Amino acid sequence: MFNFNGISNIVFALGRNGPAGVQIAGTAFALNKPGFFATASHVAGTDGQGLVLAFKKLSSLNDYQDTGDTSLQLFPVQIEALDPFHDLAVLRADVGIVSNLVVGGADQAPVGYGVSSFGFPHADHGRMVLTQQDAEIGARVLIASGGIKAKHLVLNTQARPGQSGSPVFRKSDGVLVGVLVGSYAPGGGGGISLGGVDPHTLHQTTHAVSAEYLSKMY
Amino acid sequence: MITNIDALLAEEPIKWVQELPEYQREAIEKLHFNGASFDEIAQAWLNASAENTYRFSASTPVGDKGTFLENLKREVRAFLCGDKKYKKERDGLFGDKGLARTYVVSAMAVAIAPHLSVASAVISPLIALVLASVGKVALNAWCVTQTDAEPIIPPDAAR
Repeated sequence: MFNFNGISNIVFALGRNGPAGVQIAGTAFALNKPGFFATASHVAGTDGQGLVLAFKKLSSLNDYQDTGDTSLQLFPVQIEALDPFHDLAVLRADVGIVSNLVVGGADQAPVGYGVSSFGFPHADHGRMVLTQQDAEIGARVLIASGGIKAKHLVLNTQARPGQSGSPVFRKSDGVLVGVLVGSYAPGGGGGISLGGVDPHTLHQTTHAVSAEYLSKMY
Repeated sequence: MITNIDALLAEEPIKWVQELPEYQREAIEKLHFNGASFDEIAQAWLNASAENTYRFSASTPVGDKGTFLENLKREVRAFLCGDKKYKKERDGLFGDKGLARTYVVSAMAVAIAPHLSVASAVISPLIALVLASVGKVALNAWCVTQTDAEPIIPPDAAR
C-alpha cells in the first residue's frame, strides 16, 4: 500500500484573492515539474487575476487540522494551459514546489481497484480541511464534453463542492489515474437546491477525468 | 519565408489550428473533421462541460461566457484592423519579418487578454479559431467588411 503521508505538501486549495479575502474554488496539486500544478478547468475559470494556491502548514495528513483557524498561507499562480474539453487546467507559480507523482490514466485503474483522492470537501462553506477519501472504481465511462468524448472513472464515493481538481491515486502504488471533476447528475444538475445542496448529487457516483490528458499540457 | 499577415491568411485556414499545442489541436481537428465550423468549435471550446455531470467547484466561475466570444472577436478585429489601443503591439508584430502563425496567435493573445480580463493561455486557441474563420482573404479587404460598435481604422491608415 502506498504511503500518502506527505500528501499535504503537494495538495492545495485553489482560490481567488479579492477585496473580501480568499474565496476557495477547489483543489489543485503539484505536478512533477517545479512550479507546475493541476486542477479542473472549471475550478480555474478563465480569469487569471487573483488566483492563489492556499494551504495550512501540516507536517502530515495525521495532524489535527484546526477548523477554527482561518489563517491561510498563499502564493499567486497563473493559468498556463487550459483544456475545457477534458476539464483540466495546468497552473504555474514562481515557486520550487514539485511532486514525484507518476501520471497515469484511467487505463491503469480497472473496475474494483482501490483509489484515494485528496481534496477540500465543503469548501463552499469556508471549510478547509484536507481530506482523504478512499473508494473503489465502480465503472469506466466515456463522457462527452463539447462534442469530445473523454475517459472518466466512476468512484464509488460521495464528493462535495471543493473537491473538483482533487488528484485520484491508485492506493497500491500512488500512480495518478484521475482528476475529480464532479458527480453524475441528470442534465448536469442545478435544477433544485435544498439548503444549497442539489439532491441529484447525493449519491456515490463521483466522476474523475482520466489523468492521461494532463501529460500533454505541460 | 512567409513575411506578412496576408501571406498567412492566403493559406488554408486550418493551418491556424494545426500549429496549436497537441492537446488543443487534436480536439479541434476532430470537431472540424466532423463538420463543425471554426465558429462552432470556438463556442464548443468555451462552453464545454462534461454531460450529466455536476461540477464540484466551491464557487461560481468568473466571467460571462454568453458574451465572451463576441467580445473576443471584437478585440481581434480591433487588433487586426488598426484600433489605436493595439497600435504598439500591432506595429511590433507586423513589423517583424518571417511572421509565423504561432507567434501571431501568442502575441495577439498576450495583447488582448488584459482587455478581456482573462489569461492569455485561455484565449490562444480561440484566437487561432477566429483567425481561421477569417478565411482566405486579404486583411484590408476583410477589415472593410467588418461592422462593429466602434469605428475600425483600416490597417494602412493606422501606420
